[in-house]
Amino acid sequence: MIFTQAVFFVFFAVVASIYWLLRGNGTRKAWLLAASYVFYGSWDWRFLGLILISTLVDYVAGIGIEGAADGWRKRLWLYASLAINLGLLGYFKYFNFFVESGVGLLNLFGLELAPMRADIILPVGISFYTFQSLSYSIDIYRGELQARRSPLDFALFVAFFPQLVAGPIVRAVEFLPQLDVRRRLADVEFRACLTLFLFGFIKKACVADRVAPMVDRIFSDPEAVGTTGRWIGAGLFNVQLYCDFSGYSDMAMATAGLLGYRLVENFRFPFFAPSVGEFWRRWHISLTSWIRDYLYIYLDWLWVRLGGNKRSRWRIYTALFGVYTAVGLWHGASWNFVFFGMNAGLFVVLEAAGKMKWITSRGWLAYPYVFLFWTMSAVFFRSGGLDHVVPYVTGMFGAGGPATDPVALRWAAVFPLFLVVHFAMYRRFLHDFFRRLPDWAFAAVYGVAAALVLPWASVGYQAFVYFQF
Amino acid sequence: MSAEGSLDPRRLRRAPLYLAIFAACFAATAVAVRAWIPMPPHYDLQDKLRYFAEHKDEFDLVFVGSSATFRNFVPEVVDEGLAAEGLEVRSFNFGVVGFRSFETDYMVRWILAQEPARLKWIVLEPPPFDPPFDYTGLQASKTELAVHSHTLEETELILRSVWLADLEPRVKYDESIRHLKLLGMNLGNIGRGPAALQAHLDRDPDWVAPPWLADGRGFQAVEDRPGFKEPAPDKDPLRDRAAYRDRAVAMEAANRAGASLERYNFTALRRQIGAIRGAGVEPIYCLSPMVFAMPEALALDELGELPNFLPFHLPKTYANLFRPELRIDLTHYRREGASQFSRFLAPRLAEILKRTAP
Repeated sequence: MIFTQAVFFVFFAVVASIYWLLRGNGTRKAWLLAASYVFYGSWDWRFLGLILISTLVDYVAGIGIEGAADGWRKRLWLYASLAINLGLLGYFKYFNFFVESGVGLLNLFGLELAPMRADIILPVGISFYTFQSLSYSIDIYRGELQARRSPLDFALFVAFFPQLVAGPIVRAVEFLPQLDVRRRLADVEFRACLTLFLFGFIKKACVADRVAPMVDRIFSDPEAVGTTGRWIGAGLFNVQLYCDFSGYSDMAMATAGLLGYRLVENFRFPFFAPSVGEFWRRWHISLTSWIRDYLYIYLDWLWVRLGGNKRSRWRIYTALFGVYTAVGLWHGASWNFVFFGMNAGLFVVLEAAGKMKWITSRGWLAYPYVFLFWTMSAVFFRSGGLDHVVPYVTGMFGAGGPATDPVALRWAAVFPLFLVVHFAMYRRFLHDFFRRLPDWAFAAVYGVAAALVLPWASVGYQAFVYFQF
Repeated sequence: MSAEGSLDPRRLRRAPLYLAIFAACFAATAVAVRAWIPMPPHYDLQDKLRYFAEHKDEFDLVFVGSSATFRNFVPEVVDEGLAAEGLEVRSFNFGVVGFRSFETDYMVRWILAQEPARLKWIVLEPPPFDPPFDYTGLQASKTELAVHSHTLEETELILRSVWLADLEPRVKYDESIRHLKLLGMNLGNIGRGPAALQAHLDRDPDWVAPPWLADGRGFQAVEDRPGFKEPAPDKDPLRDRAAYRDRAVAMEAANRAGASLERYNFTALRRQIGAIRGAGVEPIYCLSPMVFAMPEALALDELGELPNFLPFHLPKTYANLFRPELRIDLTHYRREGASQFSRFLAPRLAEILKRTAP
């Protein structure tokens, strides 16, 4: 079940109607939790067990950390939470990657080992809810949050269906207080939520899913595509990825909003960022801020702990590079994602060192530079493995490919069109237009807009790209 | 999000009104958009639609149906035969490859909606109205056609067929959901924009109807089909003459054995007849000489449900029409076979036309 499918509209209409008809806050939360498990179970009911384990572990660990008599016991509870959560994530997501990489490494040293691969299905959204529940334990350990005694509240925080499978990664400090207050229908900003949902739907169903078949075609057989076609392919994936993920985030925020809950903003017009560092502060904000708050600080601490010079700028660079490498690895268990992260880390470090100032200080250079950076990163992201990246990139610079490019040049028109729409959204022209309408006119315009949008929606099932994470 | 969008109780009470405004505007826009969406490309359907729309007032009789209609009825020959019987009739072949009962039903309604000035008769195959099951792959042309023909009226009839059919309840439920989805896709025009835009961009203002359409009036001999090849010997059902003869004999027996109409969708048939007659046109049901058992047709005729019926799927009665050298396969004639059948049909058709002429 995904947000753009008819079945989701039926599901949400039933869930939201009953939710608002229920009177007690506890009953409403229980209803939302049941709905969230149904939503998650619609992917594969077997994965419900994992989310229950993650919930139980962090619920118990939270109470354990808070109630621990001394620092040593606190640490023990935290390490238990980290070990189980990261252990599950590691097994389901990274087991094959680490085993294959290990075997490859040993083979390099002359130890002939047969390739090994376990048949593991990646549970949808595991990276999102693992990070979410980890932040809870860490915040309690740091004394920034009180452990939640209500198992219902905590379970709903982990499984809240609008953001369960592809974020945004919600922090306990932001979400749990919202559960304390009974939501009022009169406080729901229907118009803002409906507008946001419509924009998210357009991004996902009318843009991302429409360009996806062409992207798949180009990346599945890049040898059959010329230089221009490869640039178009990388650029189109760029557009697809943004529209897919930010579209999902918009719809997640909107559906949560229609239930009276507020989720964090996940994208802030990254293509208008003047530097790669700024780009990453605007792209998947809930992940980058998570990494900054929980990993960067740890890496910084580790540098000092390992005897690094406290005043050296390398302290910052190392932490930054490590953080972005981790961001890459978070995205996927393969070397192309590791390099995707390292590539980002390299540019962020260069910018932090002031080496890119000659570009980032000039707007006319800075924006194309960021777009180009992300287009090249898209190749790492989309290629099935590192062995596919190099031939693709060399082809982008004129090597290989057929004499006549089978990719029609008209696909390039997607980019200026995308940037114009991106700009219109950035300046909030459309939001303001919808906001200023009287209620009856909003209902009328929304009806017309929905009927005009649906013909351009892609037919058939196309999962969100970020579900794989 | 600003507080401006939040609702006070007074505004909340008006929610049903806003919902109604939303629904009305959505429906009105969807209807307007739908008028702009052409039928999907499906074999020669686009050409036939365009030609018929431009010449609709020239025809007295239209043959509508599947490829068995498309390849077997030659309007020119039928008209000559009718002229010999003293009837000045100009006919058109609206058979389309792959059409089944419900597409044909939709097409009949489309033809009637064009309000052709001279049209007096529609000849069509007796519809089995069995539930369609072959809409696989959402982008297949057949599925696009299915989406287009899933109007409220047709979907209701299809659902009746599904629930009448001898199927497991679970299958009936799944099928019903599938058809309701197709209806939703049709009413909301979901995903149909790019194909429609492409069709409008590709529309040639200087289009000239191909000869088989203009001169042949919709009939195309199977040999003239682009890329036509004789059937491979191992796939030719007519190669073993003895087996073919046995099959034909068995088929006549099966056809005459009678059929239970307990699960037949009478509503669909009666509505079809009602729609045709309501437009001042007379329906004539005709089965071309196919080597397939269709006992329901004779049973319907015995019940008096088919107002005018010409059954030619009886090999013993019409042995000459079943000669293998006239055919390409069990359903379709070659050019010569189609001409012979059309000549044979004309005097029998003339009797009905004389009897039912307005």
